[in-house]
Amino acid sequence: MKRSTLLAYAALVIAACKTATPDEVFNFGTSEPGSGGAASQAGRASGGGPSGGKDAAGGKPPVVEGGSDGEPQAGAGGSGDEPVEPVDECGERPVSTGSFTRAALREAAGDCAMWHYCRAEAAAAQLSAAAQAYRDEPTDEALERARDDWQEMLLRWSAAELFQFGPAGSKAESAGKDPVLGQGLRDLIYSWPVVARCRVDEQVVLRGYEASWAPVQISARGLFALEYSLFYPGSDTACTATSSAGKAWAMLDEAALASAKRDYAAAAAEDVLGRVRELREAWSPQEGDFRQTLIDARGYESEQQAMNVLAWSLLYLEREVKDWKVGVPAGLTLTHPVSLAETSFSGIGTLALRENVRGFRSLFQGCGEDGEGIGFDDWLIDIGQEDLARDMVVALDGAQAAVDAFPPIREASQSELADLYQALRGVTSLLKADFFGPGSSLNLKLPAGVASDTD
Amino acid sequence: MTPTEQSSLGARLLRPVDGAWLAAFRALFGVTMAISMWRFIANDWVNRFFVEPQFFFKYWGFHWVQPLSGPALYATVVALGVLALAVAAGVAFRASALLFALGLTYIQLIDVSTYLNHYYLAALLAWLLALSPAARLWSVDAWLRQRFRGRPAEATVPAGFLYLFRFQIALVYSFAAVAKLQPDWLLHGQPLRIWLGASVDLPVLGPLLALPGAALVLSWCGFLYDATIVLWLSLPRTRPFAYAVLLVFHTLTRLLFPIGMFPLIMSLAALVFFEPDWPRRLLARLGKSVPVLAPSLVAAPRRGTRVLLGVGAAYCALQLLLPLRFLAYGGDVLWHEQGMRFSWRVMVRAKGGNTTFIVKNATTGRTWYVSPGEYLTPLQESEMVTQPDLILQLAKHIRDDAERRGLGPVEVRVDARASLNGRRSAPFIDPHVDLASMHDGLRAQPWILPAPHAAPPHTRVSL
Repeated sequence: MKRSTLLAYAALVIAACKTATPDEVFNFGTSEPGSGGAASQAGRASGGGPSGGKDAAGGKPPVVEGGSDGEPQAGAGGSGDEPVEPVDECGERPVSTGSFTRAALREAAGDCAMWHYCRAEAAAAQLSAAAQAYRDEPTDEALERARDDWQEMLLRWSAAELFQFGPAGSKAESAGKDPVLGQGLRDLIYSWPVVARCRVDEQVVLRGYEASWAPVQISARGLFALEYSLFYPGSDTACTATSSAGKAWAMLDEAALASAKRDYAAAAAEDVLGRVRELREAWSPQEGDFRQTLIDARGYESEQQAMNVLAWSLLYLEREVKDWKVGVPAGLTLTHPVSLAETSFSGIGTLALRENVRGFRSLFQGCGEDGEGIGFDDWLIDIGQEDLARDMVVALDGAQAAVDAFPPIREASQSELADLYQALRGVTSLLKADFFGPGSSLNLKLPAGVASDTD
Repeated sequence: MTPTEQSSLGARLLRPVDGAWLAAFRALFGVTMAISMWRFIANDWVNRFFVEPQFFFKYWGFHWVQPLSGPALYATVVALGVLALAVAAGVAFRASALLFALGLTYIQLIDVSTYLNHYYLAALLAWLLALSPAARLWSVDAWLRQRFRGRPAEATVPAGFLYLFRFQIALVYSFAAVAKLQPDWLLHGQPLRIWLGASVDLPVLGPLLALPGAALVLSWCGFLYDATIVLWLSLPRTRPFAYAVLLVFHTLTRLLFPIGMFPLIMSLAALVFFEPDWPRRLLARLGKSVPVLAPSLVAAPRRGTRVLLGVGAAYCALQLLLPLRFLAYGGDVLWHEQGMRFSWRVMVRAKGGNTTFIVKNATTGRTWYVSPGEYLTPLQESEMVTQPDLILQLAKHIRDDAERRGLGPVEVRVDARASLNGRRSAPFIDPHVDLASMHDGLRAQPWILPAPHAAPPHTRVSL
C-alpha cells in the first residue's frame, strides 16, 4: 500500500473520530439501506443545528434560505430549524501532492471522486431518514426537513456529477461517459435531463417499485423523482386520463394521493441511498476496487483510453451545464434538447450550477478547495503547455465568478443568462478547441473519436 | 507520341502475363472486404454512421444520394459482405464485383464525415477489380466453365491490368510521401509527437517512443519509407526485403494507430509488385502441385480490352491530377482542407476544433448560439469542426431549420477555432461572414482564414 494511501486512511479515521462516536463510525458504513445510517441519525440528534456550520471536511456552511446563495424555496411551511449538514466520515478533501504522472492524475481523480461519493452517501442517508420520517409523520416540519436534506444531497451530487467515469458513468456510447467500464449508477441516482413526471406518477399510483426497482425507468426514480414528490404542490398528474396511471390517479382522493407520494418518496430516497452505497462499494478496495482499476488503467484498451474516459467527465460543463442548464432557459438554443429544466420544482438551479463548476475545478485543477492537488492542468504543464493550463484556469475563474454572482435562476433575466452562457463558453471553447481533440497535444479524443477507424 | 510508339505501348499493355497475381488479389481483397463489412456490423457502425444522424454531409455533386432506412442499410452491408466473399471465390464474378463496388461507393457517398482514405482506396480497388478479368483463373466461374462447357481456364491477363494496379498502389505511397514534405512533419515531428505520446505504456516499444527525438526519427522513417518503398518493391533484388520492411511498417502502424483495415489492405495490395506468377511460385515452394503456365492457356487479346485500357489511361490521369489540385488553392491544405480528400494525405495531420453557430434574425436581431451537437452526432461534429465545407453545409442547414421554425429570415455566422498538430487553436472561419449566403463549390473559399504561422510546439511526453 502506498504511503499516500495510508495517510489518506489515517486522515479519514481521524476525521471520523472528530465527528462521531466510535459506534457511529462503526455503524455508518454497515447500516442497511433505509435505516438512514447511524451517522445521519447522529447528525440529527446533535441538536438539529448546523453543528458548528462546517462539516468534518471543512466544507461550506449549509445553504439557508435568504443567504447570499439563497434561492427561493418552493412549497410552504418551514420547520424553523436550520438545515442539518450531514455528518460524514469523508475527511478532508484529498489533495495529492506528488509529482505529476498520468497514473498520479488517475489516482488523484479517483480519490476525489471517492470523496465526493462519500459526502453524497452521508447526504443520501440523511435524506432517506428524513423521507421516511415524513412518510411516517407527515408534518410541515418533516416535509421541510426532507426538502432541506434533498437540497443538500442534490448539491453534493452536483459536484459529483463531474466524476462520471467508472461505475458512475453511463456505458451508452451516446452518453459519452464511460463505454468501457461504466455501470450507469449515476443515472439511477440522478437522471436529469432524462426525467418524466408521468413516469413518477405511474410509480406513485401503480406502485410497481414495491415489487422490484429493476424495471423502474431512470426517468421515474432518483433525485428528480424525490424533488417532484417533495416540492411539487399540485395534485394533478402528467399522465393522460386514459392511461392506466391516469385512471388510477383519478380514483384516489387528495389524502390518498399525498400518502402515495410520501410512500414513493421514502422508497425512492432509500433506493438512492442504496445506489450511492453500491457506487462506493464499487470503488472500495474491499469490494470492487475500481480505484485501483483506474490507477492501473485495467480493463481499458490502453492507458490513453483510460485518460480519455477520465477527461470526458469534463465535458459535462459543455453540454449539460452550458447548453442545457443555461442555454435552454436563456433561449439560446434552436432545438429543445431538454424537456424540463433542472430543479424546476425546487428552484435551486443556481446553487447546483455553482457546485457543477466547483466539481469541474476539482477534476481539472485538483481536488483542493481552490484547486490544489494534481489535475489535468498539471498534465498540460508537464508536457510544456503552461500557457493553455493558465488560460483555462483564468477562464474557469471567470466562469466561477459569474456563477457565484448569478441570481436565482428563476429570477435571472435573459441577458443575465446569456452573460453566464458566455462565461461558461470561455472555458468550454478552450476545452473543445485546445484541450480535447486530435489537434491537442494531450491527444485526448472526444467521445466519438474513439471507436471508429481513422487515417 | 508517334503511331509506332503508341502501338508499342499498346502492345506492351496488352501483352499477356500470368493471371495468378490477379486471382490471388481477388481472393485476398474479397476476404478483406468481407471482414470489413463484418466490422461495420460488429462495431455498430451502420447504426452510428448512417442511422443515428439526423443530418448528412453531402459530397459536392452528390447531394442526391440519400441513406436508405436502417434495416435496408443493414441488409446492404450484409449483402456487401456476401458479395465480397463471392468476389473472393469468383462466383458470378462480374456481377458480384460490380455490385460490390457500387454498394461500397454508395455507402461512402452517404455522409462525407465518414470519409477515410482507406475506404476510398478500397472503393477504387473494388472498381478496378470489377472491370478486370480477375475470375479467369482459380475461380468458381472458371471451374464451372471448364466443367460444363469444356472451356479451359484462361490463365493470362493483359499486362496493362498489372500496371494499373501497381500504379494505383504506387500513387498512394508517393502522394503520402508528398504530403509529408512539410515542416511540421520533417522539422517538428508533428503530429507523430502527439500520437506517440499516447502509446508510451506499450510493452517494450513504449519506453522507446518516450525518448526525446523518437517522434522526429520516426517521422523521417515514415517519409523515407513512403518515398522509396515503391522503388524497392519494383527492383527484383530488393523486393523480398522491401516487402518484409513493408510488413513490419504496417504492423507497427496498426499497433500504434486506430487505422482499421488499412495496413492489411496495403500489405496485400503491395503484392502486385511481385512477378505476376508469384502465387504459383509460392504454392510450389509450399509443396503444392500447381501447373506452370502452359502456352495453350494464354488468352488472346479481346476487342473490349483496348477500350478498357483507354479508360484505364483516363483513370490514371485523373488519379494523378486529383491529389495535385491542392496546388490551385495555395496556402496550407492541412488547414483549409481544399484538396484534402482523395489525395492520400494519410495520417499527416492532427486537427481538432470547436465551432459554435451564431444565428441572428436579420430583422429583430435576436440571436441564438447553436452547438453542432444539436444537429450532429459526436462523430460528425468531430469531423465537421476541422473541415470548412462541412461547416458551410451545416450553416445552410441551420438557416433552413431556423426559417422552418418561423425564426427567419436569419443569418448564420460561426465562432470557429481549430488547432493543428498541437498548436494552440486559432480562428478558422471569418466570423463576420454570413455563411448561409455563401455558395458551396470548388473555388477557393475566401471566408476560410489563413493558417497560423507559428511552428507546432515541441511538447514533452508524460509518463
